[in-house]
Amino acid sequence: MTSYLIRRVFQAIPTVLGITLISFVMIMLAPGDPLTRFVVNPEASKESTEHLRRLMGLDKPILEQYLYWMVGNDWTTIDVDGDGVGDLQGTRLGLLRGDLGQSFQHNRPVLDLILERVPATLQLSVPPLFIGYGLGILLGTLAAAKQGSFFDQLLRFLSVVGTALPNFWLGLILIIIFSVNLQWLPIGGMRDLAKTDSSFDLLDTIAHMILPTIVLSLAIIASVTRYMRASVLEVIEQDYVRTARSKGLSQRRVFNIHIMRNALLPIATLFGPGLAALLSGTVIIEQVFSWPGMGRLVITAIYQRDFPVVMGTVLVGAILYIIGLLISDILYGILDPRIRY
Amino acid sequence: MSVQTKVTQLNTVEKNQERSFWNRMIKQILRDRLTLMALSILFLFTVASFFGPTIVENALHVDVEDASVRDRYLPPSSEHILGTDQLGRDQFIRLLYGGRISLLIAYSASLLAMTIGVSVGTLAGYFGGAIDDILTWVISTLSSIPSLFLLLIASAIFSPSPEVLVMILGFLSWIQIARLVRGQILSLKRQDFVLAAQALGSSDLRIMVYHILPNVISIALIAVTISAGNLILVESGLSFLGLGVQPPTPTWGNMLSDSRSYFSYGIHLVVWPGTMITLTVLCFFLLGDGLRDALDPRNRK
Repeated sequence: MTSYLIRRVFQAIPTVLGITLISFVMIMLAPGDPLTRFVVNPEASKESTEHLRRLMGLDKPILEQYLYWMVGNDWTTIDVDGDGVGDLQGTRLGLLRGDLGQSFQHNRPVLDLILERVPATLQLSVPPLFIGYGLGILLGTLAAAKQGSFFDQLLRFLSVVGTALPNFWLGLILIIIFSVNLQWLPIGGMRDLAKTDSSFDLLDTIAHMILPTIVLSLAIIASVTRYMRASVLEVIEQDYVRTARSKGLSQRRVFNIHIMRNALLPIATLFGPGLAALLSGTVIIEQVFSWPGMGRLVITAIYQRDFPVVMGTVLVGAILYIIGLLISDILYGILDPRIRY
Repeated sequence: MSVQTKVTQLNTVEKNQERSFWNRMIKQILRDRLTLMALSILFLFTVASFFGPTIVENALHVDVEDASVRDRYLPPSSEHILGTDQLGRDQFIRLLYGGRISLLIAYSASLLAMTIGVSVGTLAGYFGGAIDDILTWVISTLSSIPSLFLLLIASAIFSPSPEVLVMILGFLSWIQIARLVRGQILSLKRQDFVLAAQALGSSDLRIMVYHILPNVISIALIAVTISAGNLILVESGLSFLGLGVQPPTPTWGNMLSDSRSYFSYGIHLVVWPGTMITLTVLCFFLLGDGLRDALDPRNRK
């Protein structure tokens, strides 16, 4: 298992490199000069603009810029005045040493900005993961156990509707009902802004989390229920289940050991893609509920053309996703002892 | 005697037709009421939003952008059956126009995705070796970025007109189809009819087009129907974030985005665009499920 994990982590390296290259090249293809937003004064001299361009390394070819972005430029000098002789020592450390660059907008390291936001995003996305998988597995199993009943039909219908509902619309409607009309829950944000002390208030936090958590959980519940139902129905028909029954094993034992364990396998593979959907979901839901997480950071950065932040967020999102895929593989290994790495 | 022979020949022809791929699919779908309903609703929406605007312009002489400050936030009435928005524009007409853009984007992007997906999947699966390695690497890299992030970068860079959005969405959603097709072809190319064709000296292109492609069309069709539903969701999500099609061109997503600021004046502004999105996506998903039941040989009892 350990050696398999190490191998998988090494396999992820080219993928991460590919992601950095793709996002870098895409950003560089962007029309418009990133400098225009620095040179606020239209009468700024051409010299000072060029000075700034060379200082930021924007005069270099794309691949060279990519190289500096990856490994930094502290081992070389920057030719600021354009005379062919380097005169300033580089200061960037590069992605490989954890330096994601400076935010254009905030003048702060991108990594700090992102790390500030990660806890909020995790706080919003981890509970739906557990609620969604827990309820989805339960409901899917119940539906399969009572196949063809009214309950089953209802769940099948609801789970298709659940995947078709746009989550931002659902969020909007829940806000209108529960926050605007009934005024039971806060309209958005992460904590009550009226409170000045930054102490942690559990009730307040939960009140702010209820609506976004419901919206994010619903999509997961819907898709897990569908897959679980299909999976249980498939396993029930297998020969080993019939054998176990005919051996006279108790219903519960057959169910727990022979049916559930096998039916959960496909659900484990769903975990990775589910995480991707959840990450995308949080980007939009954070916007709907004004939740100060990575999603809001990236959307604001896009509007401000703050490319280092956009790239940093995409990269962190991709790494979180790859970790999700890894967890998915590990779960698979735990559930299925036939798999030997 | 000769009449007798003719009759048997006719029967064989009929039998063959009965067994043909499309016939079987149509028969199966006609029996499946839910799928039939989804198909009819989609057809209705498509026809209404493609021809509706022309009728509105030429027959009723109403322009979609006709604004009237006095008629703002009107609730649904006989004159404006779905009410009016913050500029006094008729919401029903705007929904028709929005549907045209949203559906057109979904249809064209999924067509593009299917073309790329089937081609890449076929090439990778059929040739194997280095081509397969490279294409699989591209597929796995692209699919390990949550695609919304890629979409966000892309739409931040190219300010998206509907055409650009079609390209972006198409180029980002072929991955799943390619993967499915590749998997299918890996097992197909070992089968006897392909070996026979190779032994007969058919060219690779001929084998791919005539022998392999018909066998992957069904899974591609199922995948593309589901992905059309997803594309409607993604497009409306992007427009909702303000990164999709820009106003004043209406799409269901940016109508919802507008309504966010005005819902206190009229709840109908929130309800209808969302209902249209949900219904359309639901129909695509149900149709996809129906197609899977009709086409997947494993489900045939």
